[in-house]
Amino acid sequence: MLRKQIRNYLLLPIALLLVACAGTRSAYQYADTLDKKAYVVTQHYASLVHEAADIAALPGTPQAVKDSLKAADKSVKPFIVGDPTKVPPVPGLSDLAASFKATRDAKTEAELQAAIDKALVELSTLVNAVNAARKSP
Amino acid sequence: MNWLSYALIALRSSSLALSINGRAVEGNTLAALANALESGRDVDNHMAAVAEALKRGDAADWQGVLNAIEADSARLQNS
Repeated sequence: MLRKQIRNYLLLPIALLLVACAGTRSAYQYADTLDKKAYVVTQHYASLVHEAADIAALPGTPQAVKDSLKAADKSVKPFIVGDPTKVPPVPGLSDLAASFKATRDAKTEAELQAAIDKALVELSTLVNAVNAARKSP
Repeated sequence: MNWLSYALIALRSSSLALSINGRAVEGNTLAALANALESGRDVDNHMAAVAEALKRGDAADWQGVLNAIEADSARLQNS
């Protein structure tokens, strides 16, 4: 009985870890420059927000799940696409990647690296929200 | 079909068999696992396509991905 319960609780995260990450892992592996890494992070966010929108559109999705997905999207999006309403405006990863590609100096490299690091931390919020939504009834 | 497709068929068949035999909890667990794998596959397929494009040396389609983000984010926020 205990073994069955343990198996039930462990099977889902282990399977997700093994199966759902192969394409994502190789995309990050092929991003061998900083601007490509920024592009992969942006594509990762795009695929997650697409799935979040699909889940939210399902008729049976509970309102609490929708609210959690919306909140996660709102918190992550400015770190990916930037925020022109802030003073000074926050540049998106695409703007920083373009600056880095144009100049390739230490300043733009540091700015892009810092933005990617922050975006990845925020992106984990959306990953968790989508993972939780997938398991919801 | 790849091995994930076979795994999904096996999980859904087992889930149905368990539910028919009165073991609804185990059946639901397997069904939830199948759903999670299937939905996670969409994100992973998308990222696999991105990996292939990088491998081929395709130029980054920034405008395309930013347009997709705006459309899907608006769809989510308006749901």
